[in-house]
Order: sequence, then C-alpha cells, then structure tokens
Amino acid sequence: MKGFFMIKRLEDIKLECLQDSWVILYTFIAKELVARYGIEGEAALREAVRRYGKDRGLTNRKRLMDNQIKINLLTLFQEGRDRPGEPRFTSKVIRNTREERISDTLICSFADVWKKYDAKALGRIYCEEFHIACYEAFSFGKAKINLTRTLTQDGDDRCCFYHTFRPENLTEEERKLCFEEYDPGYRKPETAMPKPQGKEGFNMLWIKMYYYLLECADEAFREDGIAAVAFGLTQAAAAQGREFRERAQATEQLIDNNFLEGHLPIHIRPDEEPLWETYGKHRAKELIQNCFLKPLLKEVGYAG
Amino acid sequence: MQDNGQFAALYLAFARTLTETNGIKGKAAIREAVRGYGKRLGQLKREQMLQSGYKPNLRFIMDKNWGVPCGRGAVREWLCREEEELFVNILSCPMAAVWETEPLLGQMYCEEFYPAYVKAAVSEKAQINLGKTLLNEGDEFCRLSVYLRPANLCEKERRELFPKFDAAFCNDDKKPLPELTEEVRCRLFLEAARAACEATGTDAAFLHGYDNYEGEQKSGRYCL
Repeated sequence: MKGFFMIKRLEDIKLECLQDSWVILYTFIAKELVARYGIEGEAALREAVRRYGKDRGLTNRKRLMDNQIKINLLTLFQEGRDRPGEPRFTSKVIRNTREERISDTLICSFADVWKKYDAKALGRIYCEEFHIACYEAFSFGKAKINLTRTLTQDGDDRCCFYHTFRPENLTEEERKLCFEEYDPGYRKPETAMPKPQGKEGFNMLWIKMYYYLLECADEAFREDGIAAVAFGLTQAAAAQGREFRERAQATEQLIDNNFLEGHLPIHIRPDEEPLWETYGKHRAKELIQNCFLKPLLKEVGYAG
Repeated sequence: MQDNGQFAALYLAFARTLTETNGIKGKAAIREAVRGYGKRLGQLKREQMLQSGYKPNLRFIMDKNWGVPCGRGAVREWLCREEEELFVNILSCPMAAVWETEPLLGQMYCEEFYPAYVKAAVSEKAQINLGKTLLNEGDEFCRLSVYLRPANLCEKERRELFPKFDAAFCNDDKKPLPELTEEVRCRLFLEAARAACEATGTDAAFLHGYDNYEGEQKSGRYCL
C-alpha cells in the first residue's frame, strides 16, 4: 500500500510539472512582449490568447461532433475537457447542466505560477481572454461566458464562473447538434471517446500557446517580435530549469531522459514532435531548439 | 407602484404572453427584444454622454438609473467604477422583486440586457460578466464585472473612449447627464419588442394594446 502512494505522488509531481511548464512559457514570453512594446505588446498578447482559445474550442467541438456527441455546457466540461487534470487544482461545481455551468475555482495552479513570477497582471490577461474565446468557439458563438471574480484579481479569493447556453438563442440546425430533444432518432455513442491525458494533453497546450504567441508577435512586430519571443523562451528555459532541478533534488532523482520524458511537455528532440507539422510556421521549431531546449538542457546539466 | 415597477410589469406581461403562446420561438423573441432594448438604451446613453462632453467609457454608464436595470430603489455595493473596470454587487433589486414568481423569465432579461447595453453604450469590445443573479437559486446578490481594455481597441477607438489617449480632450466642458425615466425605458422596450416579434415571426397582436404608453401608465395597465 505504501509503495502505491509513493508512486502515485511521483506521477502527480509529473502532472504538476507538465501543467506549470506551459504557464511558465506563457509568462516569460508575455513579460517580454509587454516590456518591449507596452500597450501594443499587450494587444498582441491578448490576440494570441484569443487565437489559442479559439483553436482549442474548435478542435474540441470537432472532436465531439466526429464522435456523435452533442455540443453543450455539460459535454464541454466532460468529453470536451482537453486540459488534463492535476492534483492541485481545486474547484467547486455548483451546477452543471446542458444549459448552465456555475463553478468556483478555489485553487488554481496557473494563478500560483503567475504570483510566483510576479506576473499576476499578465495572468489576468489570460483569464479575461481565454475562456470567452474557447467556449464561444466551442458553442457556435452562442454561449454566454461570465467570469466575475478571478484569483488573478486583487481582492478576489476565487474564480467565479457562470456560463449559460440557451436553445432559444440557437438556429434550428445548431439546436439539433446541441440538444438531443431536437434531434429525433439520435443515439448516444455506446463507447467512451478517448480524450487527451497526461503528457499528450499538456504537449498540445504547450505547443499551441507557444505558436500563437509567436504568430502574433511576428504579425505585429516582424523580426523584432520574433526576437522578443526568442528572448522570452530563453528566460522560460532558465525558470524551467530551476524548477526541474528543485523537483529532482526534492525527490532524489537524476535529470535524465526518463525525467525529461515524464516532466517536460515537449520532445527534447524536435524532429520527434508531430505537432510542428501544423504549428511550425514563423520558425517555431528552430526557435524552440535554439532558444528553449538548448539552454534548458544546459541549465539542468543534461548530457544526452 | 414604485418607479421601475411599470417597466418590470411590462416586461413580465410581454414575456409571459410570448412563452405561453409561442414556445421556443416566443423565448427567442423575448431574448431578441431585450437585446434590442439594451442596444437602443445603450445607443441613447452613448449619444447623451458625447453631447454632455463625456468620453463613453465604463465610468458613467451606470449612473442616474442607466444600465443597472434596477435603477432607483436598488441597493448596490460598488467595488470599482473606473474607465476600464466596473465591478458592482446588486444586493437588492426592485425588478427582481416583481419577477421572483417567474425567475426564469427574469433571468432571461438579465442574461441578455447587460451585454447588449454595455456594448452599444461603450464598445463591442467590452467584456461583460454577470456572475450571480438574485433570481438564480442560491445567489444572494447579483454581481457584474465589466472590462474595457485599451489594448483591445485600435488607436482611434482608444482616443474616442479614454481621455488619456486624447490630448485635445477637455475635461472641464461637461454638462450634467440626464436621468433615465420610466417613460423612456418603457417606450424603448416596446419598440424593441415589436421589432423582435417581427424578426422572429412571432405573433405580436397583443402589443397593439400598448400603443399609447402614457394612457396605459395612467390606467395602471402594466400592473400585475
């Protein structure tokens, strides 16, 4: 029994690292964009988060529709959930029906990473833009997304979510896709649909977040914007390296292939990363190799 | 009946009739009517702010009975009322008191009104969050959080909405903003209701009875 709990804790630590990694990535690129370009940097950052959210929303909607699952607020947070779970995140679901989702998030590891790196304001930006973009994209633009309090807002002790999705706001065709009672003859699928878990899920979040930050920086500021992202990547690598060293030391592990495989969302050999095919423009892969992986591996003393 | 009572009764009569006679099409018409009303009210507020020498940002859109639908008689806890952010808890609402026997109809109103009003009064790029409502089981107050981020606006929009982006703006030339009256509220809602029924193909014959708003008000027609 004792052995089981120890192994579970090591697996949980992996999930925590995988989750924190993309938030660290976001934080340091965001810091550089805003420091370098002020309000225009913030504009590019907000646009990047919106594109990232929209991508995830549309991807999830397609995934559900391809598996004959209806599109509504219940399925959004069940089959449609693409961010893997991790042990620290704590929320209280007050109501979750097809038409309503009311929940409070009491502990958010994103917010904790932003506080740690003195980036609460940048985290706020993410909170303000992501949920609207993602859930609206998922719901044909018709869900109302409300986030009235956030852990990244001074004075708030929780995030308060209240989303609604009303059949009467949909077209006839949309109602059929979203609510069973408007689709006579509909049969629920008998087998559960696979969804992203663990590293696979965090891998997707990491690459998509990075890609859209790079894309928006390139569009807004051209070569200088790419240089800003490159600098942000090196800063993220340094922070990531420190995190890994602390974690490895705490659990008496070596930072070797196994460790990196389990704790880093992206492949240390970029050629093995399939998502670059879709998210490889703007020299994405080259920058990751030179500005993130190389300095990270050096920071943690990885010899290969 | 206290101020806002007429409007609350008008809305409830309209919403009840449509849901009883038109099912989901009726519900769609109700929501469309509230959005149309919010948009008309927001556009009017915007014109008045501009004519009075104000920049149409979040700071004044809820003053003088505007915006927060409960108007006079509501008990509010203002947490932040700035150009870019507006946070308010509504602790007691005279409209909710009228609608509490039909909470779902009342909630329809709140869900649709705020986004329509704020976006028309200020900008399509404002973000409106209604997180709790008195009519929702378990909530003890309504909570509204609204954001208007300059970074989400183009340069021209920033200049139009915020004094700090407009070097030529004079802060001293301001006239007092007018209060929103029950009459204007009801008139605008009836306009929007007719338009919504037409747009959704919903039978609106019963609205003919409200053609003469002033007459109806005197007779107490909207009273429940």
